[in-house]
Parts: sequence; structure tokens; C-alpha cells
Amino acid sequence: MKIESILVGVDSVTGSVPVIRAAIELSRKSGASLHALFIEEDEWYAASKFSFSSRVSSLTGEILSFSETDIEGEIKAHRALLRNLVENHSTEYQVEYHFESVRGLTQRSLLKMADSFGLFVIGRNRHPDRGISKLGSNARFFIQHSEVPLLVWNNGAEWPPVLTAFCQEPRESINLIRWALGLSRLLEKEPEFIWPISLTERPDFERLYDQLKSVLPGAADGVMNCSKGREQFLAEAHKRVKRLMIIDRNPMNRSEALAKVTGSSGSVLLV
Amino acid sequence: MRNETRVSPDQLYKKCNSDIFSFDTTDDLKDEGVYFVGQERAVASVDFGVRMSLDGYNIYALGPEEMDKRSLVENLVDREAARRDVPGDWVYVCNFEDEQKPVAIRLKAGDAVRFRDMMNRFAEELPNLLTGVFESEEYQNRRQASEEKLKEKEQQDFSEIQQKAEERDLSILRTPMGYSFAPIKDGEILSMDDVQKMSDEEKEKLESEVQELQKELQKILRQVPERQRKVRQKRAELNKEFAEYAVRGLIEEVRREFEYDKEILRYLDNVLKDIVEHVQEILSPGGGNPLIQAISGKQDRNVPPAEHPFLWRYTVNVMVNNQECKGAPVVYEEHPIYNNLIGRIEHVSEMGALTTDFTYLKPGALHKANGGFLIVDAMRLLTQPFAWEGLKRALLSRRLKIEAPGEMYGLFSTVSLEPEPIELDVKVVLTGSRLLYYLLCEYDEDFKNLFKVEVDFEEQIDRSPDSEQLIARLIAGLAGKHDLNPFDKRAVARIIEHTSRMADDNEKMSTRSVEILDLLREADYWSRQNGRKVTGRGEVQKAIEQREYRSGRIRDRYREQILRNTLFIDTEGEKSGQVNGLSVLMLGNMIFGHPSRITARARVGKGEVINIEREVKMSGPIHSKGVLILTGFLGARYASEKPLSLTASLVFEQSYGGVDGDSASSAELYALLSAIGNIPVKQSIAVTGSVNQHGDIQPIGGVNEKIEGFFEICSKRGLTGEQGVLIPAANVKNLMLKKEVVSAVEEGMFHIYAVNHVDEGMELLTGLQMGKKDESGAYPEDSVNHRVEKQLDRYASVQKNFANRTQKANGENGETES
Repeated sequence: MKIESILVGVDSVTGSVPVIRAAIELSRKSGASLHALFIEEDEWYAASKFSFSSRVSSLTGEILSFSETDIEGEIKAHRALLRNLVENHSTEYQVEYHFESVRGLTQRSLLKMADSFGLFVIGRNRHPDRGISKLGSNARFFIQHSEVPLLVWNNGAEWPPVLTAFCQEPRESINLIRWALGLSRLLEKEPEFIWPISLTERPDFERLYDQLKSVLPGAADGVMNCSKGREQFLAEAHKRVKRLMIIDRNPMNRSEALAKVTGSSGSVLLV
Repeated sequence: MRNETRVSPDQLYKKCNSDIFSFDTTDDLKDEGVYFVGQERAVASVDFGVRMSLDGYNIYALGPEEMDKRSLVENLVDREAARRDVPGDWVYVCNFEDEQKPVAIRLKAGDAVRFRDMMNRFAEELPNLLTGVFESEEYQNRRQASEEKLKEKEQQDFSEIQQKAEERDLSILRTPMGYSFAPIKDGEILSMDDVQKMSDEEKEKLESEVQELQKELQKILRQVPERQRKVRQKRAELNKEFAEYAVRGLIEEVRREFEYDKEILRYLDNVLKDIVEHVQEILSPGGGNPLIQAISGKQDRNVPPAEHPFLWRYTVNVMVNNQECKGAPVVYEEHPIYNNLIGRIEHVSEMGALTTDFTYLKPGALHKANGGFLIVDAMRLLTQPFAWEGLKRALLSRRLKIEAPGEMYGLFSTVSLEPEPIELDVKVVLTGSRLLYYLLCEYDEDFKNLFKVEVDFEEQIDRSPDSEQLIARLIAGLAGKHDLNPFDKRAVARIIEHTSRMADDNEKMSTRSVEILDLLREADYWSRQNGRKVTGRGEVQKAIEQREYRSGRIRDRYREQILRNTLFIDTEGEKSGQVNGLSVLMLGNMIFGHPSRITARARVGKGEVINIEREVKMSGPIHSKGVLILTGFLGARYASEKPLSLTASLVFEQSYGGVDGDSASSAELYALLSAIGNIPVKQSIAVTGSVNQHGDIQPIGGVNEKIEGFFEICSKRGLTGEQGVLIPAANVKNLMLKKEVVSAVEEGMFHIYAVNHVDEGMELLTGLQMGKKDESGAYPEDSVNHRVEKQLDRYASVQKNFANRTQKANGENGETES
């Protein structure tokens, strides 16, 4: 696993600051360049033109005006804030960076742009309005359609002490295992591999080891030392509230990842 | 010459017979700790003072500067201190209720450091312990479960409103400032054109639905702060529960060790309470404010607790540690400034302002001496600002409260502390001069109440064979204590003789230990210079002479001026109205005597003796008094029944620095009688002694120096066998003259005369009889009294004639006298 460039997508809602920090941290440790893309939501401009448009303050609940001028001012301020954050942190950590602002970029255009990066990072807001987050819908979209490794970073998350990789059969999960091992080395965290078997059943365990030996001879022992069966994981899962889940990108997993994103306060890496 | 007034050579110097000593050198004498020779009164006073436990029985040890009062007192106090129990330790800890008022706790002796170390370890482990607890799965689960429950309602409300919006083809947009509702079709927001194409009814309906949903959303959002408050409250409660659970075990270790101390147990309860209240600050110093963290530079959990921005609250400041004490502490404060006595509050600069906390409290000498004794030099104490007042305040209140002196006067406005006062139980011993003691008694109202024990050191003792043995043992003790060569018995005898000279009395010996020790050290120096292992009489003599030589420049210059006839002093022949008086000069370490020419002139007048020194304000009051006494003597003896028609003037010739003392009053009387009667006086005899109105000669000070001063001049000019000094008979006991003087007297080349009355002195100086009145009331012809009376009668007659002539002349001019 080698990350050479990272694209981080941010917008004017809360959650952008932590995702930028996480992306810079990753860039610093991996040596990857950082491209921050600030998206000005076109829908806001469209909605602000209606004669009946107004807003309910998310802080106080009072009714606020909602005009094109209001939106422009707010976006401008937020963009400046994020630009400063990217500049200051990148300079401090000696990370190569670029900050770009675009308006009305569709999800598909952004997805296409992400193809040229080694990792695509977006944020998500779980609190307080989990169900109605716009970026949440972006997250759902990208989880379903992204072809590059995608890190969905939860607002308020920290790099957890354990990185949990959800594996299938070893042959199918080579890339996933490499990402989990690479990232754990990079971030100096402990990897954890969850297999669709019960580790209490010895034959399954041995079969898994044999397969690992054949596909990843150098890492087999290390992986096995950090392995758990799915049953065991599920039994313990409720204990690990904040975690980074690493999931393989296949149709079945995508919907599972989606469920995990919406159902937990952790972050997800789709590889 | 009247032989009965001549002092015999054996009266001039009292020798110490070294044969009385059974030792060869002082090494043969065991150091018996004989430092209190002749100090029975002082020893008894100290003994009483140190044992008397009531308030106000502090000690003032008074005596001359040349006496090592401190060592003497310290020696006695040490003995008492060793008998006493070791007092407890004291620490300051944080007052969590009010950080500005640190709490003082008393512990068993030696426990303060143990308590501090345990609390330091406790504070060091605290962040890791708390981190472990708050990262534990159990805590995370409980928190998640607790918060989820509260959030469920919120999520449900949002879901419902989102569902309602979707049913009405509306989308909820989240913007930076809040939420807005927009109409959608096929997942896309309608354009303005689409909306404009709507019928009025449709538009109205759309607007009304948007408004309705906005109101519902308003209701939900207005409940958010309340819900968040509840979440925070729940979280805080959970944090407290887990923190208390985690810390209780850790704190229990400390509790077990100090179960005996209720104060510590109470403090530890407060520590637990404080930690539970401030978990966030402990784990995230600076409250997560990166600015504060960056400035303090203390966000690292691995910094020592004292430097941690929050953990310092659980450290312990040891003020008194008596771990090493064997009994009650005895503290001598060399530099008794206020801060060194009472303690101080230090400050540190933080962001340009001076701040402090209980860890910056520093103990003073009173803290260290608490439960024991504090010895302070009174003069040093009194010359330091606020120090005396601070000490008195502490002793009067029996409480030790640290406060900055400036703060007492409201001079500073920096953040400061009000530490809880510490109970004070200390015995203070001041050492100082007598003058200071009497001044304090006179002018300081508190002094007598606070320092009720007066330890008055004797500076001399009676000289007897027994006491000479004691001084020998004192010399042995001092030599041993200060690693000096031993002294042989002849050296000891010479030192004893010198102590009599120091006391200016051949029947006494000085006990001024500092001066004695100085002499021993200097003799030891010369002994070592000579490569000797034992100090002999010669080295002691050399030490005495060298000291005089070192300080003798001015004396020598003075004598040189006399010998070169710059200062006029006759030592031969006779002159009327001129007598050699003797004065003493004290300059630094040097005391020396020298002759001064006193002259008198007489004429007709109104019965007064003019003191010229007084007229020009160069006479001290005692000298002036002495001169006035002369008028009394003259009047009583010669003019009891007639007017004293005399005006005489008296002066110390070539004196440019002022005169005081009455030791020259007899010399002035001799000069005056000589001048009135025109009777020549021998210049070979110098005179000292004061006189009263009856003509009795009274003793004076510095008799040895005065005699030696005149002897030196005579000796340099060549002794004629006629020269000598007239001294008061009462001063014979003070004679401890130099060997040269004694030898000259023995050889008959110099004489010391001791007189009791002015008549004896006048006869010696003039060679004439004073004369006694016969039955007719007349003095014999050629007696001093006759000549003086005759001249005074003549003055009276002249005065009378002059007055008659003047009256007559005034009458002829028609003037009347009123």
C-alpha cells in the first residue's frame, strides 16, 4: 500500500475541519500530497431564490433570511477559514498541498476527479441531524460508487487504537489486508482482522492460515495473531464505539459499509 | 617628696604565678566545656528561660560585643533542645475551595517528605489512570448507551419531519446557518420557472407547507440546547462516577499510610472530590485551548506534577522537615530580614503578570525553629525593615502567617496568597548589647512583655588563684575548640595578666571571650611563625605588642609631635599656672594616653572661672561640670566670708578637637591655684584625677594608658628620675602597667604618686606645704594656701577700690546707681 496523493472533499457545513485535520495527518505520515476541494453547493443558490425562502437557525431555532447574498457571504467566510486551516497545518507539517474551490460540482464529477488520487477522503456529520445530512447523502453516494479507496471520516472521530479490517476469504482480501497492515504501520496502530468464521472452530482457523500462507507468506503469521472470527467480533463489537473499519469494495460490502456508516460513530475506509 | 604617696612597684602590676598551675601545656587540661567562667547569673538565667514554657519568656542575652554571647547561649540551649521531643513537620497543601488560602497540615516528624513523595507519585499516575478509565470499553459503552437514549428522541423527531417533507415533495437543505425547505421533483430542486408556472393555489399551498414544516423544525431545534445540556449533565455524572471509582483505589494507598492524621484524611477526601470535579482539566490541561496549551507548554502528560497546569494542586509543599532532628531544633538566623524570618511568597511571571500558588510558599527561620529555639542578633534584626515588627506579631499571636511586607501596606496589586497561619511554639533568644536592651525596654512597649528573661553576661570576674585556674581551663577549651597550638603555663599566666589589663583592674579578669580568643589566635600565629608546637609567653607578649603596633600609627604621630616640640609639653622645670594633664584617646582598636598642657590665668573679676573650651563650645558637659566644681572649691576654701573677686580662665592648650570628661579637673585646679598664687608647678609630673568641691581626688578611667602615655614621652626625652604621674589613690587597684614602666619605677627613674586630696597633690607639684589655718584663721607664711588667699584678698581690695572710684566718678557726673 502506498498513498501518493489524497483528495479531501469539504463544504460549508460542520465536519469539514476534522476531516481536513485527519487528511493532513495521513498526508504527513504517508508523505502524500494533499488536494483540498471546497464544494459550493449549487442547490443552496437555487433554493435561496424562492420568494418564500427562509431558514431555521440550527443553533437557536429562530427564522433567518435566506438570500443569495447571505449564502455567498457565508460560503466566502467558511472557505477562507478552511483555506487557512489547510495552509497553516500543511505548512506546519511540511505537507505539499493545494486548495481549490468549485461551485455546483456534481457528485459524479467529483467522483471522476477522485479517480486520479490514491485516496479520497470525505467527512460526514452524524450529530445532530443524522438523517438529513446533505454530506451524509454524499457519503452514501460515494460509498456506493467510488472506485478509489474512500475514507469516510466521522466528525469528532480520532485515529482509534485499533484498525478493524473485515475480510472475506484470504485470496479475495489481499488488497484489504495490505491496506490494514500498511495503515496500521503508518499510523502506529494495532490491526485487527475479522473473518467470516468462528475462531473457536480449529479446522477453519487452520484452513485460513494455510490460505494466508499461500497468498501472503510474509504477513500470514502477523495477520493470524490479530485475527478474530466474526462471531467473536460481534460479541465484542458493542464495546468498540469509535473505530476505523476497513472494508473491501464489493457490492455486498458496500451496502454493509453504508449500514456501518449510518449506524456507528466510527469512520470507514473502503478499499 | 612625701614617700607615703608614692606607689610601690609591686602595686603597679599584679603578676600571675605560673607555678600555681599543675599542667605544662593546655593539652594536659581536658576540655571540660568551661566556657562560662564567672557567668553563674547568666547560666541560671538561660536555664530558667529555656525551661519556662509560658508566653513571653523569651530571652535577651546582653553583654559587650567582645563577648561571644551566641556561642555561650547556643551551648546552653543545645543542651535543653537535646532533652526535648522532636516537633512535628508542617506542609502546605492546596485549598480546593479557595486556592488563594492554602491549608497548613501538621504531621509527625519525618512524615512530611513521605507524604509529599506519595502525593507526587499519586499525581504522576493520575492522568494515565484516568485516561485508562475513560478509554475503557466499559466507560465507552456506558456513555454511548446513556447518550444514545437521549438522542433517540431527537433523531426520531428529525426523521418524522424529513418524512413529512418528502411526502410533500420538499427537501431539507442544510446550510451553514440553518435549515431550509425547498420543493423538489425527481430528486432535483425545482427551478424558479417551475415555481412560477404553478397556479396561485399551488403556490399558496407550497408556501403554507413550508411555513408549517419550518414551525415544526423550530420546535425541534429549540429543544436541542436543552437536550445537549442533559447529555452534558449525564456525561458529567458518568465521568464523576468513573473518576471516583478509579481514583479511590489510588488514594486509599495514601490514606492507609496516614490514618493517624485526621487533617490528612480530610484533605484526601477533598482531593478525591476535586479530581472528580476536574477530570477534564487533568486530562486536557488548558481546557483544550491551543493558545493556553502553547503558552503554558505543559500539555504533555509526562511533565512532573509540579509543572503540570493542573496537577500541581495535588502536590505538597514541605515547609518544615524535622526528619534529621535529634531533639528540638535550634536555629541561628544569620541574616534576619523579614522574609528569612517569617517566610515568603514567591511569584512567577506568567504572560506578563506575577502569579503564585501554595507551591511558591517558602519557610522562614521561625518555621524551622517551631517547637524549638531561634537565636537572632538583636542589632541585625532591628536594622532590617519590618523584621522586628514581624517577629513581635508572630510571638504575640503565637501564629505564623506568611505575608509579603508590601502587602501589609497595600503596596502591591499582584495575585497573592493568604496561607493558613501555623501554630507557633518557639523560644526566641536575642543577643545584643546592653544599650540596645535598655533602649528597647524604654521605647518598645511590647519588648518587656515578650522578652522577660534577661541574661546579663558578666564581663569580668574577681581575680583569685581559683579563678585563674578557671581561666586557664577556658584557654585550654578555646585552644582545643579552635585547633590552636597548646599554650604553656607561662603563656597562660601572661594571658591571665592581660585579662586584668583588659579589665583595667588588677583585682579582676576580663571574660570577654571574643577578645581572649583573638589574643589566643594571634599568639598561635606567632608561635607557628616561629615553628613552635607550643605557644609560649613570648608569643603572647608579641601578639599583644603587635596588635598595639598595628593600631598605633596615630599614637606614634601624636607623640612625635610632642617630641618635636610641635605640641608643647614640658617634662622638666617649673612653671606657674601650667600643669601636664593626661587624656585618653580611643580610635578603633587603639586606646592610648597622652599629656596635654593645661594653663590657667587669673585676674580681678566677679568670682568666675572661665572654661575657654566651653566658651567656644568645645567642652563636653562633664568637663564643664568639672570646671564649675573648681569655683565651688575656691569659694569654700578662700572666700567663705568675702567676695571671690577673681576671674580665671582655664584651657587645654593646642586642643583642636574638643574635651570631655572630668579626669583633668584636679589638674585644672592645680593650674588655677598655681596661677592665683603665682606658685611654680613641677612640669616633670603629669596629673590625672577628678576632684570634688571638698578637694577630694576621685578615680578616673584609663589610668594605665595615661601613665604609659606620659612615660613614653619622658622615656624618649630621657628619664631624669624626677618624672612621674599623679593619680587618684582609688585608682591604684586599676594598675596593670607595662613592664618598661614598672622597671623604671623599680629603678627609681619614674614615679607613680597616689593622692586622696588636692592638698597632697599640690604639695607634690609645688614642693610647698598647703598650710592649715591657725587659731587666728590665718594660713602659715609661704604655704600654698597663704599665697593664694593673699592674692585673692588683693583682688578683692582692688575690686573694692575700683568700685568706690567708679561710684564717686558717677556721683560727680550726677548719675545714680540703681
